[in-house]
Amino acid sequence: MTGARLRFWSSVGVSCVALSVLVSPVAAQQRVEIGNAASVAGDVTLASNQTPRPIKVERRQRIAWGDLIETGRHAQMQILLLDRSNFGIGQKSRIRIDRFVYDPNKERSVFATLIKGALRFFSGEETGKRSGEIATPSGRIGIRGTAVDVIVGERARDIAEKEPIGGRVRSSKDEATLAVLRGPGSTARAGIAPGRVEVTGADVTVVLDQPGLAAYIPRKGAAPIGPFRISDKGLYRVQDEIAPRWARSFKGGIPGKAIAGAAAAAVIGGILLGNRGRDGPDQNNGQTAATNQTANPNQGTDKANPLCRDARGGQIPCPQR
Amino acid sequence: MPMIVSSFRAMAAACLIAASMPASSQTLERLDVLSDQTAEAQTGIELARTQTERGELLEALATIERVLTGFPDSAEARFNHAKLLCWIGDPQGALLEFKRLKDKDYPSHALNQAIANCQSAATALQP
Repeated sequence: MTGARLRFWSSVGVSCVALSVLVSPVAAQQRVEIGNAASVAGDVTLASNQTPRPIKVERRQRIAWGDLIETGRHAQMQILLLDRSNFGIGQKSRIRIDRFVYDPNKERSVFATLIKGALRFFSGEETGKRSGEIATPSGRIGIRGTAVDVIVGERARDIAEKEPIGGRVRSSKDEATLAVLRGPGSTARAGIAPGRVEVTGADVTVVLDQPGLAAYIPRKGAAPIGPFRISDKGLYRVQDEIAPRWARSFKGGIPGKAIAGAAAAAVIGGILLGNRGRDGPDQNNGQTAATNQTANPNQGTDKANPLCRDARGGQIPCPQR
Repeated sequence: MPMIVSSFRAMAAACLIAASMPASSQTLERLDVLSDQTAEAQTGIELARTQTERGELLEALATIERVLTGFPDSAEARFNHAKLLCWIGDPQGALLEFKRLKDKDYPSHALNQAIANCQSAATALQP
Protein backbone atom coordinates (compact mmCIF):
# COMPACT_ATOMS: atom_id res chain seq x y z
CA MET A 1 0.00 0.00 0.00
CA THR A 2 1.43 3.38 -0.95
CA GLY A 3 2.09 6.11 1.60
CA ALA A 4 -0.73 8.25 0.21
CA ARG A 5 -3.20 5.37 0.47
CA LEU A 6 -2.03 4.58 3.95
CA ARG A 7 -2.52 8.19 4.98
CA PHE A 8 -5.98 8.23 3.39
CA TRP A 9 -7.10 5.11 5.25
CA SER A 10 -5.56 6.38 8.46
CA SER A 11 -7.59 9.57 8.10
CA VAL A 12 -10.69 7.56 7.31
CA GLY A 13 -10.13 5.42 10.37
CA VAL A 14 -9.75 8.38 12.67
CA SER A 15 -12.68 10.19 11.11
CA CYS A 16 -14.81 7.07 11.45
CA VAL A 17 -14.05 6.88 15.12
CA ALA A 18 -14.96 10.54 15.49
CA LEU A 19 -18.12 10.15 13.39
CA SER A 20 -19.26 7.07 15.22
CA VAL A 21 -18.91 8.85 18.52
CA LEU A 22 -20.78 11.88 17.21
CA VAL A 23 -23.72 10.26 15.43
CA SER A 24 -24.51 7.17 17.40
CA PRO A 25 -26.62 7.46 20.55
CA VAL A 26 -25.05 4.32 21.90
CA ALA A 27 -21.55 5.36 20.92
CA ALA A 28 -20.87 6.73 24.34
CA GLN A 29 -21.31 3.22 25.68
CA GLN A 30 -18.91 1.65 23.17
CA ARG A 31 -15.26 1.16 23.90
CA VAL A 32 -12.92 3.37 21.89
CA GLU A 33 -9.61 1.61 22.28
CA ILE A 34 -6.67 3.95 22.26
CA GLY A 35 -3.75 1.98 23.61
CA ASN A 36 -2.55 -0.96 25.62
CA ALA A 37 -1.08 -1.88 28.96
CA ALA A 38 2.50 -2.13 27.79
CA SER A 39 3.90 -3.25 31.13
CA VAL A 40 2.23 -4.31 34.35
CA ALA A 41 3.67 -5.24 37.73
CA GLY A 42 1.70 -5.94 40.87
CA ASP A 43 -1.98 -5.40 41.50
CA VAL A 44 -3.53 -3.29 38.73
CA THR A 45 -7.25 -3.16 37.95
CA LEU A 46 -9.45 -1.54 35.32
CA ALA A 47 -13.10 -0.50 35.53
CA SER A 48 -15.25 0.97 32.78
CA ASN A 49 -18.87 1.55 31.83
CA GLN A 50 -18.88 -1.92 30.30
CA THR A 51 -17.17 -3.55 33.24
CA PRO A 52 -18.08 -1.55 36.34
CA ARG A 53 -16.66 -4.36 38.44
CA PRO A 54 -12.86 -3.96 38.27
CA ILE A 55 -10.94 -6.57 36.29
CA LYS A 56 -7.30 -7.46 36.76
CA VAL A 57 -5.09 -5.84 34.13
CA GLU A 58 -2.63 -8.05 32.28
CA ARG A 59 0.02 -6.91 29.86
CA ARG A 60 -1.49 -6.17 26.40
CA GLN A 61 -4.85 -5.29 27.94
CA ARG A 62 -6.58 -2.78 25.65
CA ILE A 63 -7.18 0.62 27.17
CA ALA A 64 -10.17 2.74 26.08
CA TRP A 65 -11.68 6.13 26.72
CA GLY A 66 -13.16 6.38 30.16
CA ASP A 67 -11.30 3.41 31.62
CA LEU A 68 -10.48 3.88 35.27
CA ILE A 69 -7.11 2.36 36.14
CA GLU A 70 -6.12 1.66 39.73
CA THR A 71 -2.80 0.38 41.07
CA GLY A 72 -2.08 -1.17 44.43
CA ARG A 73 0.85 -0.83 46.80
CA HIS A 74 4.21 -1.36 45.07
CA ALA A 75 2.36 -1.83 41.77
CA GLN A 76 3.08 0.05 38.59
CA MET A 77 2.15 -0.05 34.93
CA GLN A 78 2.71 1.75 31.67
CA ILE A 79 -0.01 2.65 29.18
CA LEU A 80 1.17 3.06 25.61
CA LEU A 81 -1.12 5.16 23.41
CA LEU A 82 -1.50 4.98 19.64
CA ASP A 83 0.73 7.99 19.08
CA ARG A 84 3.41 6.35 21.30
CA SER A 85 2.76 8.75 24.14
CA ASN A 86 2.69 6.94 27.40
CA PHE A 87 1.59 7.12 30.97
CA GLY A 88 3.76 5.50 33.60
CA ILE A 89 1.48 4.94 36.56
CA GLY A 90 2.97 4.52 40.01
CA GLN A 91 1.76 2.80 43.12
CA LYS A 92 -1.57 3.46 44.86
CA SER A 93 -2.80 5.52 41.94
CA ARG A 94 -6.12 6.10 40.23
CA ILE A 95 -6.25 7.57 36.73
CA ARG A 96 -8.82 7.90 33.96
CA ILE A 97 -8.08 8.58 30.28
CA ASP A 98 -10.88 11.00 29.47
CA ARG A 99 -10.19 11.63 25.82
CA PHE A 100 -7.58 10.91 23.19
CA VAL A 101 -7.69 12.33 19.69
CA TYR A 102 -5.22 11.00 17.19
CA ASP A 103 -4.90 11.97 13.58
CA PRO A 104 -1.48 10.78 12.45
CA ASN A 105 -1.21 13.52 9.85
CA LYS A 106 -2.50 16.46 11.81
CA GLU A 107 -2.75 16.44 15.53
CA ARG A 108 -2.99 14.46 18.68
CA SER A 109 -4.28 15.42 22.08
CA VAL A 110 -4.79 13.55 25.30
CA PHE A 111 -6.86 14.44 28.35
CA ALA A 112 -6.60 12.45 31.54
CA THR A 113 -7.56 12.82 35.17
CA LEU A 114 -5.15 11.80 37.91
CA ILE A 115 -7.42 11.32 40.90
CA LYS A 116 -4.65 10.20 43.21
CA GLY A 117 -1.16 8.74 43.12
CA ALA A 118 1.78 9.14 40.77
CA LEU A 119 2.09 9.55 37.05
CA ARG A 120 4.86 10.08 34.52
CA PHE A 121 3.86 11.23 31.07
CA PHE A 122 6.06 11.04 27.99
CA SER A 123 4.98 12.67 24.76
CA GLY A 124 5.00 10.44 21.72
CA GLU A 125 5.62 11.14 18.05
CA GLU A 126 7.04 14.59 17.47
CA THR A 127 5.21 15.31 14.22
CA GLY A 128 2.06 17.38 13.97
CA LYS A 129 0.31 19.49 16.54
CA ARG A 130 0.45 18.00 20.02
CA SER A 131 -1.27 18.89 23.24
CA GLY A 132 -2.29 17.27 26.45
CA GLU A 133 -3.85 18.05 29.75
CA ILE A 134 -3.91 16.23 33.05
CA ALA A 135 -6.61 17.29 35.47
CA THR A 136 -6.13 16.76 39.19
CA PRO A 137 -8.42 17.49 42.14
CA SER A 138 -6.84 20.92 42.59
CA GLY A 139 -5.82 22.06 39.13
CA ARG A 140 -4.71 21.10 35.68
CA ILE A 141 -1.42 20.53 33.97
CA GLY A 142 -1.00 21.48 30.34
CA ILE A 143 1.63 19.51 28.49
CA ARG A 144 3.57 20.61 25.44
CA GLY A 145 5.82 17.85 24.16
CA THR A 146 7.51 16.78 27.31
CA ALA A 147 8.31 14.40 30.13
CA VAL A 148 6.56 15.34 33.34
CA ASP A 149 6.00 13.74 36.74
CA VAL A 150 2.79 14.43 38.65
CA ILE A 151 1.95 13.35 42.19
CA VAL A 152 -1.52 13.83 43.70
CA GLY A 153 -2.69 13.41 47.28
CA GLU A 154 -0.97 12.59 50.52
CA ARG A 155 2.43 11.84 49.02
CA ALA A 156 2.40 15.12 47.09
CA ARG A 157 1.75 16.92 50.35
CA ASP A 158 4.46 14.95 52.17
CA ILE A 159 7.06 15.57 49.48
CA ALA A 160 6.20 19.27 49.15
CA GLU A 161 6.27 19.82 52.91
CA LYS A 162 9.90 18.73 52.96
CA GLU A 163 10.78 21.26 50.28
CA PRO A 164 11.58 24.85 51.26
CA ILE A 165 8.25 26.02 49.81
CA GLY A 166 5.97 23.61 51.60
CA GLY A 167 6.29 24.24 55.29
CA ARG A 168 3.81 27.02 55.84
CA VAL A 169 0.90 26.29 53.56
CA ARG A 170 -2.34 24.51 54.30
CA SER A 171 -2.48 21.42 52.13
CA SER A 172 -5.21 18.89 51.45
CA LYS A 173 -4.16 15.25 51.63
CA ASP A 174 -6.62 14.43 48.86
CA GLU A 175 -6.14 17.41 46.56
CA ALA A 176 -2.48 18.42 46.82
CA THR A 177 -0.75 18.31 43.42
CA LEU A 178 2.96 18.38 42.69
CA ALA A 179 4.27 18.59 39.12
CA VAL A 180 7.93 18.28 38.11
CA LEU A 181 9.21 18.85 34.59
CA ARG A 182 11.77 16.18 33.65
CA GLY A 183 12.64 17.20 30.11
CA PRO A 184 13.58 17.70 27.41
CA GLY A 185 15.78 20.54 28.60
CA SER A 186 18.06 23.02 26.91
CA THR A 187 20.99 20.61 27.20
CA ALA A 188 19.13 17.84 25.41
CA ARG A 189 20.68 16.30 22.34
CA ALA A 190 20.18 18.19 19.14
CA GLY A 191 16.86 17.89 17.40
CA ILE A 192 14.70 17.58 20.49
CA ALA A 193 12.37 20.46 21.24
CA PRO A 194 12.45 21.62 24.87
CA GLY A 195 9.47 20.56 26.93
CA ARG A 196 7.09 22.85 28.70
CA VAL A 197 4.40 22.41 31.32
CA GLU A 198 1.75 24.85 32.51
CA VAL A 199 0.41 24.23 35.99
CA THR A 200 -2.87 26.00 36.65
CA GLY A 201 -4.84 26.40 39.85
CA ALA A 202 -7.32 29.11 40.78
CA ASP A 203 -6.80 30.84 37.43
CA VAL A 204 -3.09 31.26 38.06
CA THR A 205 -0.68 29.48 35.73
CA VAL A 206 2.93 28.66 36.49
CA VAL A 207 5.12 27.72 33.55
CA LEU A 208 7.81 25.06 33.96
CA ASP A 209 10.36 25.18 31.18
CA GLN A 210 13.48 23.59 32.65
CA PRO A 211 13.91 20.04 33.93
CA GLY A 212 13.83 19.93 37.72
CA LEU A 213 11.47 22.87 38.02
CA ALA A 214 8.35 22.09 40.01
CA ALA A 215 5.04 23.64 41.00
CA TYR A 216 2.81 22.73 43.90
CA ILE A 217 -0.92 23.29 44.32
CA PRO A 218 -1.69 22.64 47.98
CA ARG A 219 -5.47 22.34 47.65
CA LYS A 220 -8.44 23.11 45.43
CA GLY A 221 -8.98 26.84 45.09
CA ALA A 222 -5.32 27.66 45.76
CA ALA A 223 -2.87 29.05 43.26
CA PRO A 224 0.25 27.03 42.38
CA ILE A 225 3.43 27.71 44.33
CA GLY A 226 6.45 27.93 42.10
CA PRO A 227 8.26 27.45 39.95
CA PHE A 228 10.89 26.15 42.33
CA ARG A 229 13.74 23.73 41.87
CA ILE A 230 12.96 20.44 43.54
CA SER A 231 15.64 19.15 45.91
CA ASP A 232 17.60 16.00 45.21
CA LYS A 233 15.78 14.14 47.96
CA GLY A 234 12.46 15.45 46.71
CA LEU A 235 13.24 14.12 43.26
CA TYR A 236 14.19 10.75 44.74
CA ARG A 237 10.85 10.63 46.52
CA VAL A 238 8.97 11.48 43.34
CA GLN A 239 10.85 8.80 41.44
CA ASP A 240 10.14 6.25 44.14
CA GLU A 241 6.40 6.85 43.89
CA ILE A 242 6.41 6.46 40.12
CA ALA A 243 8.68 3.43 39.94
CA PRO A 244 8.40 1.64 43.29
CA ARG A 245 9.79 -1.65 42.02
CA TRP A 246 12.88 0.03 40.65
CA ALA A 247 13.29 2.05 43.85
CA ARG A 248 12.91 -1.01 46.06
CA SER A 249 15.53 -2.87 44.06
CA PHE A 250 18.18 -0.59 45.52
CA LYS A 251 19.21 -1.70 48.96
CA GLY A 252 19.42 1.12 51.46
CA GLY A 253 16.75 3.43 50.06
CA ILE A 254 17.50 7.03 49.22
CA PRO A 255 21.23 7.85 49.24
CA GLY A 256 22.05 10.22 52.04
CA LYS A 257 24.37 12.35 50.00
CA ALA A 258 23.77 13.14 46.39
CA ILE A 259 26.49 13.44 43.80
CA ALA A 260 28.17 16.78 44.27
CA GLY A 261 26.44 19.20 42.02
CA ALA A 262 23.46 17.05 41.02
CA ALA A 263 20.90 19.76 41.62
CA ALA A 264 23.47 22.52 41.47
CA ALA A 265 24.69 21.43 38.07
CA ALA A 266 21.16 21.57 36.85
CA VAL A 267 20.51 25.09 38.05
CA ILE A 268 21.08 27.72 35.47
CA GLY A 269 21.30 31.11 37.04
CA GLY A 270 20.93 30.04 40.67
CA ILE A 271 17.91 28.99 42.69
CA LEU A 272 14.76 29.74 40.81
CA LEU A 273 11.76 30.86 42.74
CA GLY A 274 8.76 32.35 41.11
CA ASN A 275 5.56 32.85 42.94
CA ARG A 276 6.80 32.99 46.45
CA GLY A 277 7.76 36.15 48.27
CA ARG A 278 7.07 38.49 45.41
CA ASP A 279 5.16 41.70 45.77
CA GLY A 280 2.20 42.37 43.60
CA PRO A 281 -1.50 41.87 43.26
CA ASP A 282 -1.07 38.28 42.06
CA GLN A 283 0.74 37.10 45.14
CA ASN A 284 -1.68 34.38 46.11
CA ASN A 285 0.62 31.40 46.00
CA GLY A 286 -0.95 28.60 47.89
CA GLN A 287 -3.51 31.04 49.23
CA THR A 288 -7.19 30.68 48.63
CA ALA A 289 -8.10 32.51 45.47
CA ALA A 290 -10.59 35.31 45.33
CA THR A 291 -14.13 34.11 44.72
CA ASN A 292 -13.96 35.00 41.05
CA GLN A 293 -10.83 32.89 40.62
CA THR A 294 -12.14 29.54 41.74
CA ALA A 295 -10.26 26.76 40.01
CA ASN A 296 -12.29 24.51 37.76
CA PRO A 297 -9.88 21.71 37.08
CA ASN A 298 -11.99 19.44 34.93
CA GLN A 299 -13.25 21.79 32.31
CA GLY A 300 -9.94 22.73 30.77
CA THR A 301 -11.27 26.08 29.66
CA ASP A 302 -9.48 29.37 29.68
CA LYS A 303 -10.58 31.96 32.16
CA ALA A 304 -10.52 35.62 31.32
CA ASN A 305 -7.15 37.20 32.01
CA PRO A 306 -5.37 34.31 33.69
CA LEU A 307 -1.92 34.97 35.10
CA CYS A 308 1.13 33.19 33.77
CA ARG A 309 4.70 33.28 34.96
CA ASP A 310 7.97 32.22 33.47
CA ALA A 311 10.67 30.21 35.21
CA ARG A 312 12.02 33.30 36.95
CA GLY A 313 8.65 34.34 38.28
CA GLY A 314 8.08 37.17 35.85
CA GLN A 315 4.56 37.69 34.59
CA ILE A 316 4.20 36.76 30.92
CA PRO A 317 1.36 36.55 28.39
CA CYS A 318 -0.45 33.25 28.79
CA PRO A 319 0.04 30.76 25.97
CA GLN A 320 -2.89 30.04 23.68
CA ARG A 321 -4.56 26.68 24.19
CA MET B 1 -25.65 21.46 1.55
CA PRO B 2 -24.98 19.10 -1.39
CA MET B 3 -21.23 19.23 -0.85
CA ILE B 4 -21.56 18.39 2.80
CA VAL B 5 -24.07 15.62 2.16
CA SER B 6 -21.88 14.25 -0.58
CA SER B 7 -18.80 14.37 1.63
CA PHE B 8 -20.73 12.77 4.44
CA ARG B 9 -21.92 9.95 2.17
CA ALA B 10 -18.42 9.44 0.85
CA MET B 11 -17.06 9.31 4.36
CA ALA B 12 -19.82 6.94 5.49
CA ALA B 13 -19.02 4.66 2.55
CA ALA B 14 -15.35 4.84 3.35
CA CYS B 15 -16.16 3.96 6.95
CA LEU B 16 -17.97 0.82 5.86
CA ILE B 17 -14.96 -0.23 3.82
CA ALA B 18 -12.56 0.71 6.55
CA ALA B 19 -14.57 -1.27 9.08
CA SER B 20 -13.64 -4.40 7.20
CA MET B 21 -9.95 -3.50 7.34
CA PRO B 22 -7.88 -4.26 10.39
CA ALA B 23 -6.05 -0.90 10.21
CA SER B 24 -6.77 0.16 13.75
CA SER B 25 -6.13 -3.26 15.22
CA GLN B 26 -2.86 -3.44 13.31
CA THR B 27 -1.83 -0.26 15.03
CA LEU B 28 -2.78 -1.62 18.42
CA GLU B 29 -0.95 -4.79 17.51
CA ARG B 30 2.13 -2.70 16.86
CA LEU B 31 1.85 -1.47 20.43
CA ASP B 32 1.68 -5.09 21.54
CA VAL B 33 4.88 -5.79 19.62
CA LEU B 34 6.58 -2.92 21.45
CA SER B 35 5.29 -4.32 24.71
CA ASP B 36 6.48 -7.83 23.82
CA GLN B 37 9.95 -6.54 23.06
CA THR B 38 10.28 -5.25 26.60
CA ALA B 39 9.07 -8.50 28.13
CA GLU B 40 12.72 -9.57 27.95
CA ALA B 41 15.41 -7.25 29.26
CA GLN B 42 17.85 -7.64 26.40
CA THR B 43 15.36 -7.17 23.56
CA GLY B 44 13.95 -4.15 25.39
CA ILE B 45 17.38 -2.61 25.75
CA GLU B 46 18.04 -3.25 22.06
CA LEU B 47 14.76 -1.53 21.16
CA ALA B 48 15.71 1.47 23.28
CA ARG B 49 19.07 1.61 21.54
CA THR B 50 17.38 1.64 18.13
CA GLN B 51 14.99 4.37 19.24
CA THR B 52 17.91 6.39 20.58
CA GLU B 53 19.70 6.10 17.24
CA ARG B 54 16.55 7.43 15.56
CA GLY B 55 16.53 10.37 17.97
CA GLU B 56 13.39 9.16 19.75
CA LEU B 57 14.77 9.76 23.21
CA LEU B 58 11.48 10.00 25.07
CA GLU B 59 10.29 6.76 23.50
CA ALA B 60 13.61 5.17 24.40
CA LEU B 61 13.19 6.30 28.00
CA ALA B 62 9.70 4.85 28.11
CA THR B 63 11.03 1.60 26.69
CA ILE B 64 13.74 1.36 29.34
CA GLU B 65 11.16 2.09 32.04
CA ARG B 66 9.11 -0.85 30.81
CA VAL B 67 12.22 -3.01 31.04
CA LEU B 68 12.85 -1.76 34.57
CA THR B 69 9.29 -2.57 35.55
CA GLY B 70 9.97 -6.22 34.80
CA PHE B 71 13.68 -6.26 35.56
CA PRO B 72 14.39 -3.59 38.18
CA ASP B 73 17.79 -5.13 38.93
CA SER B 74 19.05 -4.92 35.34
CA ALA B 75 22.33 -3.05 35.65
CA GLU B 76 22.39 -2.25 31.94
CA ALA B 77 18.84 -0.89 31.95
CA ARG B 78 19.55 1.22 35.03
CA PHE B 79 22.65 2.68 33.42
CA ASN B 80 20.84 3.40 30.14
CA HIS B 81 17.97 5.05 32.00
CA ALA B 82 20.31 7.46 33.75
CA LYS B 83 22.17 8.15 30.52
CA LEU B 84 18.95 8.87 28.66
CA LEU B 85 17.84 11.28 31.37
CA CYS B 86 21.07 13.14 30.79
CA TRP B 87 20.54 13.12 27.05
CA ILE B 88 17.06 14.65 27.36
CA GLY B 89 18.60 17.44 29.40
CA ASP B 90 17.69 16.35 32.94
CA PRO B 91 21.13 16.24 34.57
CA GLN B 92 19.76 16.43 38.10
CA GLY B 93 17.67 13.31 37.60
CA ALA B 94 20.47 11.57 35.71
CA LEU B 95 23.15 12.26 38.31
CA LEU B 96 20.88 11.12 41.13
CA GLU B 97 20.30 7.84 39.33
CA PHE B 98 24.00 7.38 38.60
CA LYS B 99 24.55 7.85 42.34
CA ARG B 100 22.46 4.76 43.02
CA LEU B 101 24.50 2.56 40.73
CA LYS B 102 27.40 0.40 41.86
CA ASP B 103 30.84 0.60 40.23
CA LYS B 104 31.24 -3.16 40.39
CA ASP B 105 28.30 -3.66 38.00
CA TYR B 106 30.00 -1.81 35.14
CA PRO B 107 33.24 -1.85 33.19
CA SER B 108 36.06 0.03 34.81
CA HIS B 109 35.55 3.80 34.85
CA ALA B 110 32.31 3.57 32.81
CA LEU B 111 30.22 5.02 35.60
CA ASN B 112 32.65 7.81 36.43
CA GLN B 113 32.98 8.68 32.78
CA ALA B 114 29.21 8.84 32.31
CA ILE B 115 28.86 11.04 35.38
CA ALA B 116 31.62 13.34 34.19
CA ASN B 117 30.03 13.62 30.75
CA CYS B 118 26.66 14.42 32.23
CA GLN B 119 28.07 17.02 34.59
CA SER B 120 29.97 18.74 31.85
CA ALA B 121 26.92 18.79 29.60
CA ALA B 122 24.90 20.31 32.42
CA THR B 123 27.42 22.98 33.32
CA ALA B 124 28.18 23.93 29.74
CA LEU B 125 25.19 26.26 29.64
CA GLN B 126 25.72 27.88 33.01
CA PRO B 127 26.44 31.59 32.77
